[in-house]
Amino acid sequence: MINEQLSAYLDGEASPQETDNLIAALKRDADLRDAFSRQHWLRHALREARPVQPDAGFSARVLARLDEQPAEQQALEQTHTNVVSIPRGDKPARAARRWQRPTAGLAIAASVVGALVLVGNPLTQVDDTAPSGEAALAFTQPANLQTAGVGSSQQVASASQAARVPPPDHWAVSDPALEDQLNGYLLEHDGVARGYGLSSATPTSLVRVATYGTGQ
Amino acid sequence: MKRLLPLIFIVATCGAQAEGDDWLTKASQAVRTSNYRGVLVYLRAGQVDTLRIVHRYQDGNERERLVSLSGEPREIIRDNGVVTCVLPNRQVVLVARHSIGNIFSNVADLVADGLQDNYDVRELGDERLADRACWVVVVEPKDEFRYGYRLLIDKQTNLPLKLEVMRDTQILEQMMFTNIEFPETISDASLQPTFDTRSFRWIKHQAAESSATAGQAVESEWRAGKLPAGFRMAESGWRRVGGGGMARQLLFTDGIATVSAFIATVSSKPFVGSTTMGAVNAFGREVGNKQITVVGEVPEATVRFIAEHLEQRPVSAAAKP
Repeated sequence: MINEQLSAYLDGEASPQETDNLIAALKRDADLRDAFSRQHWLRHALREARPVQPDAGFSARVLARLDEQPAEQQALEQTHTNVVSIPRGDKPARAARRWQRPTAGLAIAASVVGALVLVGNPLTQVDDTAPSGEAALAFTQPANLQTAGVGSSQQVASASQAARVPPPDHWAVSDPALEDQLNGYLLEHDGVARGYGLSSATPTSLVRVATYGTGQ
Repeated sequence: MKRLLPLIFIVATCGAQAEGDDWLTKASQAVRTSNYRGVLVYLRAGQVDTLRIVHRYQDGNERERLVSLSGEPREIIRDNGVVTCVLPNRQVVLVARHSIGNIFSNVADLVADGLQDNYDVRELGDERLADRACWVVVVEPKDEFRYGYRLLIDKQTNLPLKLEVMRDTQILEQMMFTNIEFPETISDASLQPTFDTRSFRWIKHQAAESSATAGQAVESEWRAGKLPAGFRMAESGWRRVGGGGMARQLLFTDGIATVSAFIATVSSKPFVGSTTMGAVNAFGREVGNKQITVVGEVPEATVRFIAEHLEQRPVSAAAKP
């Protein structure tokens, strides 16, 4: 559980309560501090897109910093310190930041067709009725009726296939129909390939599907 | 003695190779037949995603659930050959079925004939990850038609806890568990989706069909006139495409990497050229009224090569080996 809170924290998705819990856990758990250092370093290294050596003293500095402050002030102040650089905030705030990025135009276009991975792809058949017992799905929570503010497909102005430098979780195309088609082909490929080669030894294919378009 | 030395070297080399291959075979079995749950981090250039994964193997059935912990909420459930994707923000459920048959028989294909001609598979000591001792196994390509891989394989369970996909010395993708546990049993409840999907739109993928059941009048067959060294065709089938059309799918593998070629009737906007998504590449070309699209987790040179060497032959000629 605490590791999930740590991941959520580093992704900026931890609630204030989870943040407080995590800070308390960091103070008493050396292994967790190591995990924190490792994950923070991974994120930093990849975002910088250049080799970065792990900072062995990072967790120690975090701990020292925590020890300097009264517990009730820590959660608030962590959001402003450059030492820890712990993101914080609720999901809507994070989503808003995402849409403000310079690539938002491309992201909007991609999200309309891409975030669904396969909706409308050329390999699908639409069935608007819920299946009778298929996949044996149980229902443990009310539906999340949120919809992302992604605009309409009319915002996708270009149907050209000119390649762009995309986020690593999107095809480098600007044609929504083509993106759909490639996603469909990729899922079909992964489904069949799972019995062969390295695809059979790692959960790569499902992870790709689960994270498609999440970085927009 | 001098004449014996090369032979000793060859025997020693083959022995080491077999050991490396054995790790991969064990890893492939472990990923299907183990009970495990944990948090997995997926790293690509400048982007990190975290997922919770639960996997159960019980009474010969494999069931798995992935929940995205960052970005858009998403849940994916695999029940043997049926993959169900729940996309709550869109209120959509996608169901894909694949006729996997006895999928475990295919695991043997991991160690394909000639694998040693195209990869060096070596075990390079050990490392710790997620508080567990792991073997380090490196799969090094011998040409530009395939990626390299570095795996950390749990010593106790043989489950791969980390995978790096590499091109030369550049890491294209990483997938690693930041924590993992191996419970004796996993409850049904932990494999159920979080969301109430009753009001969602359900979209079903057509299962693979043989050419006979697809009702196609097959007068000609597609095949690769030439393939990158080590690749061979492993499967061939049909997929139903939008509007009732069909696409032919050919799966190629070199024992490690896999590539699919799709052949369908060309659309009004054909896909010509190459595109990429992380470590995955695609290449498209038109041949007559057919659109060829080749997709796989291989370098661009490989999808291009396969696409450019697909050809149509009369079915009688294609049937001959």
